[in-house]
Amino acid sequence: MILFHRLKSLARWVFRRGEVERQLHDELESFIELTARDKIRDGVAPDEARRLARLELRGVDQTKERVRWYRWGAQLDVLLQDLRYGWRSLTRQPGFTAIVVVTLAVGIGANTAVYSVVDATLLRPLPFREPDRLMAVFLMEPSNGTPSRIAWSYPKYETFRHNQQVFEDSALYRTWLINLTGDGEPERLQMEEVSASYFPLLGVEAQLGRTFLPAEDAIPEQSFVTILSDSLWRRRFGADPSVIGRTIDIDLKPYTVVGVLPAGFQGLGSPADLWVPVHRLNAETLGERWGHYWSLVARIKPDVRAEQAQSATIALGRIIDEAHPDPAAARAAWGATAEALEEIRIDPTIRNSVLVLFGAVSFVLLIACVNVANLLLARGNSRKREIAIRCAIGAGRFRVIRQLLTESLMLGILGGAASLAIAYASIHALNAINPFGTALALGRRLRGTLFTLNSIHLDSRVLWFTLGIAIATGVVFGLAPAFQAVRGNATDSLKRGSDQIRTRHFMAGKGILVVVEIALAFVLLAGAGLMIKSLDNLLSTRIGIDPNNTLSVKLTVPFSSGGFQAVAGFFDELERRIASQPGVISAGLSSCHALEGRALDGRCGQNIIRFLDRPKVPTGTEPTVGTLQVSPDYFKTMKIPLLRGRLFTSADREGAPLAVIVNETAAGRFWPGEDPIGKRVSVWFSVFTRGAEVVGVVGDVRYGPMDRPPQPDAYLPFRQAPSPTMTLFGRTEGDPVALVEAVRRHAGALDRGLPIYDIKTMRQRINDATVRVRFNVILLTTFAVIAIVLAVVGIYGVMSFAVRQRTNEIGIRMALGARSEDVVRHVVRQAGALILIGTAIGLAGALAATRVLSSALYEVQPHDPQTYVAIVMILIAASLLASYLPARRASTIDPSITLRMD
Amino acid sequence: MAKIDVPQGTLELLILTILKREPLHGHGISQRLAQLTADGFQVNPGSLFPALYKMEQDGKLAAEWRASDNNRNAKYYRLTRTGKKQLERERERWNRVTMLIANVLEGA
Repeated sequence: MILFHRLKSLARWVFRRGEVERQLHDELESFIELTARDKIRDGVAPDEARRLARLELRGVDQTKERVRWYRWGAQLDVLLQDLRYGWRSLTRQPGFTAIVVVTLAVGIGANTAVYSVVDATLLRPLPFREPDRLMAVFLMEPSNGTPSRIAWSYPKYETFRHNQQVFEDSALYRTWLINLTGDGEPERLQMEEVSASYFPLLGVEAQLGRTFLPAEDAIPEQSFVTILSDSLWRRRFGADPSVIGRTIDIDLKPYTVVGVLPAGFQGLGSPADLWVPVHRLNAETLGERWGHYWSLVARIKPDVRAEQAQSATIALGRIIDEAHPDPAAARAAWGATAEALEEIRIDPTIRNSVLVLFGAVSFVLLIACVNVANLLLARGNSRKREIAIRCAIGAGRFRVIRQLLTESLMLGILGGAASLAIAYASIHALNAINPFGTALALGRRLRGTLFTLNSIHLDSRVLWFTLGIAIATGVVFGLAPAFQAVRGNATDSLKRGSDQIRTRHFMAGKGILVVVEIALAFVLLAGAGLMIKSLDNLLSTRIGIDPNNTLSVKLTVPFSSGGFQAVAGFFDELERRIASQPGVISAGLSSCHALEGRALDGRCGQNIIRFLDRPKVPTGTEPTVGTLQVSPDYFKTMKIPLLRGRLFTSADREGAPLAVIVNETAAGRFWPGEDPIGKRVSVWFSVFTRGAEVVGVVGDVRYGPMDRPPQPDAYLPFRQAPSPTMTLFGRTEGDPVALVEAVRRHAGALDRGLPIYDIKTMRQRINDATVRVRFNVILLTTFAVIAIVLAVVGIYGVMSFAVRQRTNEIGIRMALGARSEDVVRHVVRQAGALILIGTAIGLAGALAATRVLSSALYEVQPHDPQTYVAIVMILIAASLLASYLPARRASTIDPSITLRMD
Repeated sequence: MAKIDVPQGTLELLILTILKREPLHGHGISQRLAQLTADGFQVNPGSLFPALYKMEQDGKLAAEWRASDNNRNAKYYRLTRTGKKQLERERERWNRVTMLIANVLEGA
């Protein structure tokens, strides 16, 4: 009922506004008239009575304004009016508006870009059906007292599946590299072996054909069926729908294609292109109790809570342990646990660095806000009179604040709109650096971690965020200036010259802004400085090889195609043919290339080493070495120096005495002060368990991640211990990429259908290894540069303003004999105090804040004094410069002119 | 005795009560209020008019323009049916409030 009346009154207001306003006016006039008449009757003179009546009403316009305020729908009207007025005042000062909009666009744009990363990596739900009901289930292995998550073996999974009651379904998966042959170029691809329940569990349906039937995943070695990813289907099969039912060869075995998955789905492990059922394997492999290679995902029953599922899984761990007792009975109990899939979607170190960047970029926005607030305060001062007039003619304080806030909101939204261009360009650049190339690699290396399943892009979620911060910034930087504008009383402001009275008070507020800006800029500079130093350390790390002009490609020859020696013969011949290509200086082979090793132990393969001339050490305490199978020319090709003894030759082959070359670290650690040449060792790998002679010592090479120091390594002649997977290196005179075609051709000629893969120059591999640090450096440095530019502009603005305000005073000082140096010193000293306070606060803040960086730093302490000294100097120099310029201007003031000004 | 402002929240009740007897214009309402309280209450027109507009907008009052006793056109407010119901409810509430407050004051 009330609503009806309100709507009626709204309609009247909208359609017959003139009449409504006239009636209000008439009503108030008649009130005055009637009041005056009463007073006249009481003996007051008519004119005086009318004046008193008006006074009693406390302003006709003020009362009208209050009435309007209560009118339903009037708010909308006021808003439109505010917007119109705001737009006028923004366009009246286009320079001011442009500076504010650009400042905000930079601040908001950078935030949008980083938020898109946060959203993709941390926030956006996984693209599966009810992703919050999915859990990753782990087996816990009791290693060294601290249980660690490991993958499942099939028999243990069976025990889990038959005994659990909290999950409605579960599925195994693991990724595997395979050779795809038949129909065109052979390719090396990631394949995921999955349970038939995998796709229904995730809610993924085939876009073409179907997913696996339960019957296809029930009996070992029965069904050889496969499903393709959308990208493989488009790339290799030209999106041909008739691919369903075709046969393709996976590791030389025929599989029938039964389906194609929707675009974007890449599996839960590393991004895969092919899927096959678990039961393609034979019963023996599936029966391996201690073959822990399966990851497990499960969906919680609808009436079970995640915590219940977790504790039920932990309880189940005992049953699994009892069913499969550890043969090393001395060890503690095994167990199991479950965690939400959302939780483990990204490597914790990446999560950390994403959050650090998000924190840093919000500092940039804060500085931008402070700057804009500064500008608005300065302008607010010059608008004091305008605002006083508005108050005098009936605008309430609230209304004025609202008007000013509308203006700053408009600025915020304009800035937000302009920021989209910046955000778009930044996101483009971020994708070009592709930090998730490494996220992926890490995801593969750290057990049980998912790589990101989302790409970085601008979408409606990100745009809402932008709108949100645009509005929030508008309020944040607008609030202080708006309240400042209505403080004090109107008559003061209407008088000229009163500005100076409040200057002191006003300067205190602006001083705080300067201090805040310098402190924020300091923290950002510290972060950037530390990251730059880390990158510098990383780039100057000696990897131990010469990465220039070197191509490296991988090949895998299944042992099944002719036995160990045939594989070795293949690689030998391939190396020989590549070495004789024109433009090739030398070619070599190794089972592991620099920087390839796991994050866990920094190695590709490691084995126990025993020293045959020393007493045996107890089991479990034997030292280990990284083991690499190499060709004789590997060392020459990678320019690894020989320090002692000899390199391998072509005579170090099957039938000859077994030979080992160790690296410098191994020589120093195992034979301190001794010559290792001629010593006999047993490396627990292939025939080398029997014992071999150390024939040489070579320089260290970093086979693990770049930041891990070299470990003891042992090189074995690959002809004495062949490996099915080798990296072939070619050092060339010109561009090494030109060699790719020759390698592909020769490999194909020697073994039909053998793909080459992971084709990269060694220079590229080093770049890949530093991508995360470079990503952090680029972003943090950009933020720091923006921050310092904004801070300098802010300080300059504040000091110019202060000087302008004090023109009079300075004029008097100079008239009384102050020299221009005195004036400069006076002004700079005032700024200097603010700069020092800001620097001190910034220093404290940075010391506290950079601790979150420590995991991303390399050979730099978060409190690195050198970096801090440099930052203090940069900041002080920049801010002194920013305050010196206005001070200089002040010193050129001509007293005779300034004194005449008022 | 100094005049006191109409206590917060009671202005609507007072307006409804005054208008129950006869329709009045703004000036009339404030005069009547002064008369009934022997000049004890004062109501600021800056509060009175917004309150009248709000009540009219909510359908508690209806207004019409007619000539006042000195032949000047004035806007007269009267209670609507909604307004009358509102008045009963407000009175009821006010009686309870004063009774409860009196109890507290005496019991304390």
